Amino acid sequence: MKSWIPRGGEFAAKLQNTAKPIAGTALAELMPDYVKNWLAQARLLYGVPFEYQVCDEHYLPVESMRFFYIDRNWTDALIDGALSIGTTSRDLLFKRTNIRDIQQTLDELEKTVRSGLRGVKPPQELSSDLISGFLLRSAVVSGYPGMDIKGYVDKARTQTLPILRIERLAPDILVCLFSGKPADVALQQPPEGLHFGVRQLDASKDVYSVILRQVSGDKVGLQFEPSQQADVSFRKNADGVLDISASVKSIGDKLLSLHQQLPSNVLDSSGFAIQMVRASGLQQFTTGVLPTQGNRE
Amino acid sequence: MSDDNVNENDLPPGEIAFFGACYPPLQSGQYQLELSQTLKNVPGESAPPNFKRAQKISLTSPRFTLAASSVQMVYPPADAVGNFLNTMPNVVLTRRTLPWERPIDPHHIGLKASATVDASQDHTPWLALLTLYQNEAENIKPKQRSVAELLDTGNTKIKGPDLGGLVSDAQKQTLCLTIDISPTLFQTIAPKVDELKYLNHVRQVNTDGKEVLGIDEEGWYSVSVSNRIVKTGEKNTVYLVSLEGHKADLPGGGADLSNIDALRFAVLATWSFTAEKSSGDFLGLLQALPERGGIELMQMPNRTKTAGSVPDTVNNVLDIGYTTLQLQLQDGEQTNAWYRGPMVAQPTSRETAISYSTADQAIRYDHTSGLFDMSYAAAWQIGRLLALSDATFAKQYYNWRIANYTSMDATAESHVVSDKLGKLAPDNLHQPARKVAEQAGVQLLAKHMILTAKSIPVSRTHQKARPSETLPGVISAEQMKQHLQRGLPPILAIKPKTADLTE
Repeated sequence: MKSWIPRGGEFAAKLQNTAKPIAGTALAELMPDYVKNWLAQARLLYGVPFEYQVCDEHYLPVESMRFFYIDRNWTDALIDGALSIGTTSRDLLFKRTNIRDIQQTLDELEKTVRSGLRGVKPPQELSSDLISGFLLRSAVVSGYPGMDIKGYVDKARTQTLPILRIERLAPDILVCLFSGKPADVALQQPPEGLHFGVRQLDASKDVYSVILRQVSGDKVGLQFEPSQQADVSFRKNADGVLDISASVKSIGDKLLSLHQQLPSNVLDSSGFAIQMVRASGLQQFTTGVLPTQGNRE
Repeated sequence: MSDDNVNENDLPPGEIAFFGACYPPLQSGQYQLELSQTLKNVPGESAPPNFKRAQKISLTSPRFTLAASSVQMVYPPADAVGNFLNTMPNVVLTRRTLPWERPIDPHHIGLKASATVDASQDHTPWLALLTLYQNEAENIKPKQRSVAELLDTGNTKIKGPDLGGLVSDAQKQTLCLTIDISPTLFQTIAPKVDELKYLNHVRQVNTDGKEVLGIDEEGWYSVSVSNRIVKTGEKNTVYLVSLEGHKADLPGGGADLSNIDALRFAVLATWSFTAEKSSGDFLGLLQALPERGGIELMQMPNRTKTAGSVPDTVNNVLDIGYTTLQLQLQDGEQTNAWYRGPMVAQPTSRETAISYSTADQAIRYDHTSGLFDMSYAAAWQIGRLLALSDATFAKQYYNWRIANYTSMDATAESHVVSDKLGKLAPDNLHQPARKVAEQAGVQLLAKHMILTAKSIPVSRTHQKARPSETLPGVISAEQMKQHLQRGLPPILAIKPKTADLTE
């Protein structure tokens, strides 16, 4: 196509000058929302085939956890590729002129992808350009959907890092991306599942117990040390049926031995319910050392 | 326990209070109110006249069916598949008194004075949650029957609840969900009479500020818990059954069931779920990670390091997360190439504003190992394929790009015009004035100059005198004028014209 606009280097220079059509607004910010969000999500590896993220199974064996940094050059190349569809030499020039703007817009936008998807306000103070995260491949992922993940800036766990993405990539593979680098990561069992049950310390043994909680004093409901357990027994010749009377007695006796006050020295049904509530587990992972003992809350 | 003394405001947000039970003032059933009045000192009457009046009332509550809205939530969730290891199923009911509203043994009440009834009221809950494993549940088919069929099964081998004839005819016509369970199974899995009170309790939650555990609204709920833990690896079915009239059939209840094939129960709620196999609980699994797959950085396990036959340079590359993959070059040659995904073991420094024209442009060559690094080339290509596979993205991005050319062209054009105008402006024009002319009023000025001084050529591609209409990319002065009058950039006029000519 013939044009009266001068070609070549002059054209590129002009384009550079005209990249901001509206005063003070970067061109990239005027992209359609769908395009912007699509690109921001691609930055967080939405849609990227898993075999390109983890190209060999040895990177992520069964029952493993792998921490990583996101290679910005890789994701920048991904975006650059996405912007290279249907290009003539003119479009390439256009892309080259605007790529910095677009990438900078996405730098901000990628931090709001998660809040946008959840329909909540974007988190404050998202200044970090570094993205790190971990992949978890474990039966925990499939068995406990909705687990609560927190990344802490410091080992004292005073400040949490904004989470950019938590996603199950496969039934047993979970990816979590933080804005910044965590010193400490905590995984918590889904807290919404307040339910009743017993604890089996050793899967090979038929011994079940509950970790006791206080029923009197000013800390009602607070759990004793995990060692303070009471056995629960099962009805004979009945698969999985608890012997409630015997368990109530076992738990009640143990509580009395811990100087807990029971009405008429017998555990009542509300006290029994408190003991049978299964709380959620919390596991911390700290940089540099092996995982610490899990806590129960 | 009554809730009269409990101030609901006492409960801080997020906390839960447990209560052993919440008894209704009167259990459901038939009652008779009696009124008597004795008139004393009535003249002419030897004995004080006594007037009596009786009024029958019936106190109703859910009995054979339960409205779906009465069930706040069930756990494990209905139809869920998950790890419910060692869990006892439970149901949360919106009516806090429900488990204590009916007598488990209707005969117990009989006709007694109210004070006696109150004292002797049997506060054993009438609800039980039965958890059935897959092989047990297979033989049990829930069926809609009328209440009449529930009570009188028409078969001496099937025993229904004994409600002592306290069911109205109208009630007998209603339908309810029922199940038949063999007495052996029932006695194996059902709780004993004195265990029932431990399996029903009341919960108060503070619903201020946030939704707590999926429980909301008033904050008072009754909870019924099953006495059986979930069987892992199969489907579990849970029935909330009415034990009213079945007290003697409970384990240790003393009923003779030797000639009975099945017990018939009214089912108030039922759901099922599948408990998946799992190797341990949440903490157990996580704490086993170091011994199993390990908790490490995103690297390939370096088997060569110990062998000692590999140069350090290669080990270094492995350390930062690379691996080698087979690469087929365009000429058909097979070789190896370095690759690492976006998740890397070491932080990288970001190159600003990379822009490639083709994937091959992003290939890097590592001269120390003599291998190509295909990482960014692959990323670029994946990005391109992803964009192409999303038609909405491709179309919107493409249109946005095209739309930008128009506005960019217009701006570029105004720059050209301002250049030309700048040259035309008198040399003694002050720089600020020139700037104003160039930037702020450039379009206006151009318009004005073209309309008034036709001799100034704004665009001139050919010097030869040819009819301007036939020249590619050139428009006549008249067309230019029309466009400027309409406030449009002249390039819009050029475009269609050139398109016509190229055909």
